[in-house]
Amino acid sequence: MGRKSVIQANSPSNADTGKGQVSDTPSLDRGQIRPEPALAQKLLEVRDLKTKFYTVDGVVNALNGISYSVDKGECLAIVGESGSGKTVGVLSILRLIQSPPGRIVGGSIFFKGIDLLTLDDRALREIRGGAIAVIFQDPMTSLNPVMRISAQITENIMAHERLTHVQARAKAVDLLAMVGIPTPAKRLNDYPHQFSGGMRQRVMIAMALSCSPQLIIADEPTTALDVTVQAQIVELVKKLQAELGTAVIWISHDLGVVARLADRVAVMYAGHIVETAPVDELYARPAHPYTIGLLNSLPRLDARTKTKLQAIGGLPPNLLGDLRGCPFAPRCRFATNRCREENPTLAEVAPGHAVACWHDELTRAQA
Amino acid sequence: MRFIIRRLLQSLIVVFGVSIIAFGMLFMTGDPTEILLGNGADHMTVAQIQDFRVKMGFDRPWYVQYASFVGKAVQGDFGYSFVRHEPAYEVIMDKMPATIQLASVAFVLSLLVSIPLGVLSAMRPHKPIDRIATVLALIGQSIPSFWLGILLILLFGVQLKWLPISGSGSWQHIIMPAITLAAFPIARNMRLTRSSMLDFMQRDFVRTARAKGISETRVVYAHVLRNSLLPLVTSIGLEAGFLLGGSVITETIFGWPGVGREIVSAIGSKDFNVVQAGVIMLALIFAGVNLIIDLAYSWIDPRIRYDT
Amino acid sequence: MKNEVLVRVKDLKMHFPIRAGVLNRVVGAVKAVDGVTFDILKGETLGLVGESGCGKTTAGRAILHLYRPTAGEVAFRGVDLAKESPEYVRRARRHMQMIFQDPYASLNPQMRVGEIIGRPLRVHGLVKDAQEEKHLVTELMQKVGLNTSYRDRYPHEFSGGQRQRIGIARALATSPDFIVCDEAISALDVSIQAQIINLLEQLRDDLGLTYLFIAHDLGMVRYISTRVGVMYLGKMMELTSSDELYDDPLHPYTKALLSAIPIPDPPLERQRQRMLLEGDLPSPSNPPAGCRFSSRCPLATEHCRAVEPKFREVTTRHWVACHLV
Ligand SMILES: Nc1ncnc2c1ncn2[C@@H]1O[C@H](COP(=O)(O)OP(=O)(O)OP(=O)(O)O)[C@@H](O)[C@H]1O
Ligand SMILES: Nc1ncnc2c1ncn2[C@@H]1O[C@H](COP(=O)(O)OP(=O)(O)OP(=O)(O)O)[C@@H](O)[C@H]1O
Ligand code: SF4
Ligand SMILES: [Mg+2]
Ligand SMILES: [Mg+2]
Repeated sequence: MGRKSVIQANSPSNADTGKGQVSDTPSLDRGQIRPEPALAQKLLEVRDLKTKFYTVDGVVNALNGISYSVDKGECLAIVGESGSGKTVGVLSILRLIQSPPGRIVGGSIFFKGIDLLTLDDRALREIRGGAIAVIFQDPMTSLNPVMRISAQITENIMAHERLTHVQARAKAVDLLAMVGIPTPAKRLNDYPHQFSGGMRQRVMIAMALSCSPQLIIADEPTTALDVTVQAQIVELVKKLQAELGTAVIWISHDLGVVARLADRVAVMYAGHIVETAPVDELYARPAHPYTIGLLNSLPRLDARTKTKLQAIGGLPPNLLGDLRGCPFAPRCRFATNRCREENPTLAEVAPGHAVACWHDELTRAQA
Repeated sequence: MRFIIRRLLQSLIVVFGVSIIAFGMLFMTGDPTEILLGNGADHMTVAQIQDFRVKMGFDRPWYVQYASFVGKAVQGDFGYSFVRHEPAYEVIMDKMPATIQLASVAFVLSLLVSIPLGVLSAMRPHKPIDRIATVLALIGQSIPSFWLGILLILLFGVQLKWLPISGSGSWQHIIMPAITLAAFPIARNMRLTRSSMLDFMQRDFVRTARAKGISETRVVYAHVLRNSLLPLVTSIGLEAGFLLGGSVITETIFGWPGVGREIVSAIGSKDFNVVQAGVIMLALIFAGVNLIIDLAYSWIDPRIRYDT
Repeated sequence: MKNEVLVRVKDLKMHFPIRAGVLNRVVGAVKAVDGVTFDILKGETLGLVGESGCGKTTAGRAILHLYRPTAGEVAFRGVDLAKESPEYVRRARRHMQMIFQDPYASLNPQMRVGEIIGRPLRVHGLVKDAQEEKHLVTELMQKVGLNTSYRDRYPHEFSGGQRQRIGIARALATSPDFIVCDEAISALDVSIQAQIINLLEQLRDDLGLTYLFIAHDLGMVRYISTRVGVMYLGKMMELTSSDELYDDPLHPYTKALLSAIPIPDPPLERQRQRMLLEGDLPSPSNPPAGCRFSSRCPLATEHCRAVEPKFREVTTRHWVACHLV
């Protein structure tokens, strides 16, 4: 019963409020699940973000109104099925969506109170690589193959700081040393192909750190790497985050890595955030049937008793065209007619724990 | 170093192949003795003809003839021109500067026009400037060069009388032949630049560059363009061949006193030594240019430099 | 009957020549697999784990005789196929199949699903006529959970998980005893991986299959395997039952590998100590002298760097190659 009132009080992804969202001011806390004191301004606050791709096959609804926030120094992990919109969700923050065919069609993205979607190109460029930096998934293809590492790092530094070329190079050497590249001064003049995958990802991290960002967006930075190298990178990021106090958005589909790194987790499915909770809460008391299914379908490395894996049946969703009802309904054990008709909105079920499911009481009782 | 040696060997093979073809030309058309003597043979006795055959060495097996041909050719001896009564090599080398001049001007012209045009249309795909450039490229690629040459002559030479129709001597003379020769490379390089730019524009590292907050101009020139030039460089190597080969037609149309025109007239007068000398010298230059292009490629692309 | 050996691998070496220079001379070799010895018992699932490039795929392919081994032998049911006639090998092949990582790349895009699954039946002459083939294909599709009305569709019309099912059905067509699953689930979504794993397990139990299960997801490997082998730079480092390997790893590399894998349990993860390996994997064409792991091993001694440790049975059915064990 308590649930209903929450929905009416503030429902961030209600379809009928979607249009007016763009012009909303930061003082309105519609996107927040719980009203908070005005003092605690979030570092990043995404509200009802909608991104579509206008392709020859039709409109791909990649983001269908997602809302979330990141605090200073916090690590938010975004997990979800391939194609659920994780990458599009974070690239939209810096307006790095390939356009055409992509377009952000609604919502707002407040970074320290400024709506990034209304910034002009110049102001946006100051934030890109400055206050917000990105680390991409594939270190093999994310560096320019014909440009020296030195040039690739210094161009980032010099775009944001008034330094001479020599100073920028000196800084680049420090950065490479900081991310654990041996003999950094020598390696500076190398080309990307002279580095291993793990080393390239370190270079990407050095680049991301170069202008002391307040937020680092890491899009599956270890997926392409071996587990032993992944462990090196995860520990490096964890250490740097603690030292520098940088907030991190870490996209991953590895729930183990997320358990290691994250403070809070957002679970995405078909362009929606279906659940968000502090990391311990999410793993201990998952409430959305998709999250529950995801956790049950993982074998535990440390588990001796062999319980049969509980697979989620059915197929991943198709984002082409309009969806009706809960996007997970076709694969959901709990789905009812209501689920197939009406899209559930995120509602808080415990402090900081919000779920978009009509039957969360039922699912939590079963989990 | 290994790389250079390998490329040198490959170039040698190309030149070797061309020399065989140039040599074989004479035999493919029939009995070389009859071809060379032409109608003249009617007035000669069988013994005289046989004498001529022996004098020219046509009585020996073909591989012996080829070996002696190559042996002399490496020393720059392609035999005598029957028409000009001077060594065939000198006939060709006399005309070489004019051909190189025309090819170079066309080459520079093609790069100066095609790359900026390709970049422009890649920056605004499917917008008016891109459409216009695409249509122009289509015309440039499909119109035969003799036809374009004649059109130019009619328009600028005959109608407007802005430019000299034929010959050489002043800078005005080179304009129309250069445009004629460059039309196809311009069209092709423009399309290549465009598609390669569009391809690289979508690469991950370009997204990385944008995420750094550098200006869009820098993204395009420092990241996209440099990578896009790689496929272009390969095509430019082939283009050297096209420019040299294309000069045969263009030089003939515009009366440009180069190797191409010389070869055509030598074919007409069955002056095969000159034809052979011309074809082989052009092939040598072509191989040389390609070698330089390959070295340039390895200079632009660090991955190649280190792999070998 | 219990411990019948199905596949016996003895000192298997698979080297790929590296060619270079003007004359394309052989200047070295990638020692993809460099002397491994193990048995695969009938009915078991042997897991094979290790970092990228350590030779898992090569070992799998060599076991199926898709490569001619550089040295050593692979015996299937006691017969070393390398010594048999091509005709014998061809016939033996139907008893061993492979399922690939990339379900899309391994399916011919121009063939209908029914044809893809039915082809091995025809190639090995296992069906009399089209009628029988159709019948068998229908049966196979049902077995792997594919809707039989999809038989006339093309691979691109299927999702990743469904494509993997097609690949499995194709592998099952010849009623093999032994299947090499090379990263069969790596390309799939987490929620779909469990579907395929469950299918593989069910087929194993129903049809009495034996698997060589290659993967780098150690969680999945532990789950599905009876025994697990850990490879590093073309060598087997440790081999034992799956529970013993995870509960009581002996080789330092196994320990590092296990500690590198995060467990989806936040409070536990926060306490876990990492044993971080320095640096990257050395090149398999120029492996370190002595023990291959010595360049990254936190415990390495001079002895390790000089002498290669033997792969030996330290406790019952627990094999390790390390001087310090
Ligand atoms: N350039 C594009 N053109 C058309 N559709 C696109 C484009 N980029 C992304 N999409 C679509 O947007 C949806 C979300 O994609 P996104 O890349 O965000 O997924 P993801 O969650 O990051 O998946 P993954 O785990 O595979 O990286 C997908 O359905 C995808 O097909
Ligand atoms: N046909 C081949 N020719 C030359 N080298 C090869 C060939 N196949 C594999 N290699 C090399 O042998 C080594 C082992 O490769 P293999 O594919 O067996 O590794 P893997 O353990 O399966 O790795 P991954 O986890 O990446 O699939 C690698 O260094 C690889 O480059
Ligand atoms: S809303 Fe319904 S269909 Fe969606 S997850 Fe909840 S129970 Fe399942
Ligand atoms: Mg992604
Ligand atoms: Mg492999």
